[in-house]
Amino acid sequence: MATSTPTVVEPDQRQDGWRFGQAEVVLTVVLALILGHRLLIPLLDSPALRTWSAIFMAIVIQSTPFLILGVLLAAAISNLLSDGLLDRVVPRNPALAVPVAGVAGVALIGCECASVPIASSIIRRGIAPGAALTFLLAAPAVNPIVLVSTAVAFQGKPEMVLARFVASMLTAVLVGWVWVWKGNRVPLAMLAGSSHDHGDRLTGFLNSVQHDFLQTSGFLVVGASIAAAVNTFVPSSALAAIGHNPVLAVLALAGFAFVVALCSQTDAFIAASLVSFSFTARLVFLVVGPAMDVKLALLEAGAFGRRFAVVFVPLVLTIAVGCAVAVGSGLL
Amino acid sequence: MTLLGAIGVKIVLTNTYLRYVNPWMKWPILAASLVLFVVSIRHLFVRTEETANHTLPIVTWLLLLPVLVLFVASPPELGSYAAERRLATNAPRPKVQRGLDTPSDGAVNMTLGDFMSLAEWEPVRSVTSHSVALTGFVSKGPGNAWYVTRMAITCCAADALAYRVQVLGAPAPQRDQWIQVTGRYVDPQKPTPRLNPAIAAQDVRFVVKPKNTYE
Repeated sequence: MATSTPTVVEPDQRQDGWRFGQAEVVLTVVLALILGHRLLIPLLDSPALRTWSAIFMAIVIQSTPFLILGVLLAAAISNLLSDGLLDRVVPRNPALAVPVAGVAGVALIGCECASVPIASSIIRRGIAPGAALTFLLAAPAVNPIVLVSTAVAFQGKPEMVLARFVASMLTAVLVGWVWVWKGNRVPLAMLAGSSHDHGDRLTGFLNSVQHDFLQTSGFLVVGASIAAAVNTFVPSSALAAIGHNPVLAVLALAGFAFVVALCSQTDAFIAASLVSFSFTARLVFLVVGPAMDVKLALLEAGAFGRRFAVVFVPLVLTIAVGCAVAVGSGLL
Repeated sequence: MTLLGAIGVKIVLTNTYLRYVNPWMKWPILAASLVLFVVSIRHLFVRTEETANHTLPIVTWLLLLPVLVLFVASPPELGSYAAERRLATNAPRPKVQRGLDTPSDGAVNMTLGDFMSLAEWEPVRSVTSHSVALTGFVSKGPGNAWYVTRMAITCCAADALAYRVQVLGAPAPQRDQWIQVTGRYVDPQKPTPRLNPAIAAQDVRFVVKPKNTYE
């Protein structure tokens, strides 16, 4: 059952002898579930749970290929592209560098988790922090993979793709400019960055793929189970009640985006499933999610320090909601 | 990861994936599964500095959850439970603008989506002059009302919405039984919530569940 699990904790075991670690706890639970399988079946047979698990599986199956595509491309970029490229492209003037970084975000495809180490490494290479933050916000939100999966999820509503692009780009650039205007400093608590640059390129590539996938896929499962639960158990009348009140709907989906911490390649599918909400509210979900969520807030607190995060997180949330509402009411 | 890759291959080979997503997802799922296979199997044999020193977030263990759900529960496609809670509130946009051809002898096989869009949008009302055959599962409504129902997905089961047509003049079968109803369109029953087309049944036959249960 657990062919891929023991390798993760093996180093610990070598040093300290056998310990009852994460892997063992999980293995015990898995074994218990398999043995208790027959007892559990009647419990799992309720139609509500079957519906939950079908929707849950659907979200996982639908999004995993997109997540893998994103991880592969991110690995290709961080390992197979020359490092000096960004330095040459980005102008010295920080106010000008901000929009350039936004556009660079379109070309550089990465999951938000991948863009945090990239952002901290380009700050170290002397690029204005405001521009690096713009890149950090733009790269996961407006890259081609995200736009394509948004188009797939919202078939028959192509304006959604344009609105998502405009609102996310606006958010990224505005945050960058605010940062430039406010003094333009970012503390670098964690300078280590990611250790992708040792070994040959193929090893580095495969390592990034594995690392990024393992770092992010768990969050995808959490998001899928929450979204499936919302879809199954929250009565549609309650959702409709929230959905009908425009202010509540926007706030609810902004909060939802922050809590579920979905990968940007996959969030469009979940947004598409929230059918009782207006398109503007769902746009808020799509713009807030890649820019800021609970997982990113933790990553950024780790990379740039807690004091940075305390200012940065609310700033991004406010600007993202504002941009999405403005663009949504104009375009959708 | 290996396991996730393995179930990816498994659900494609057994057509289980049609319970959850669109048919065209077949190749993306296969490709993603292969990538997972390659990366994870290499990881079993090659120990690198990075993998050895890295502690994973606890949530990564949740990757086992979809595997477990699939093996323990093997969730079926969405049925009447979901259908009764997720009604489509708009008729699908018509694909067939011109309506039906001149009446022929037999019943016209059509999807519930087409039937509903014709009933809702078509000005000529050609649907009223035809005998049609609709295939779907049984779901129930208030009172004794029952419906021939089909879930429509645009992307995956998470965005499924129910298309349903009320069946009149026949006793209700069990929930989730797959049926083919032959009959004629009749105007919506009173009281009329929006989008409540009905069919006067001449014949209700039990049929085998189709390979792809979604429209």
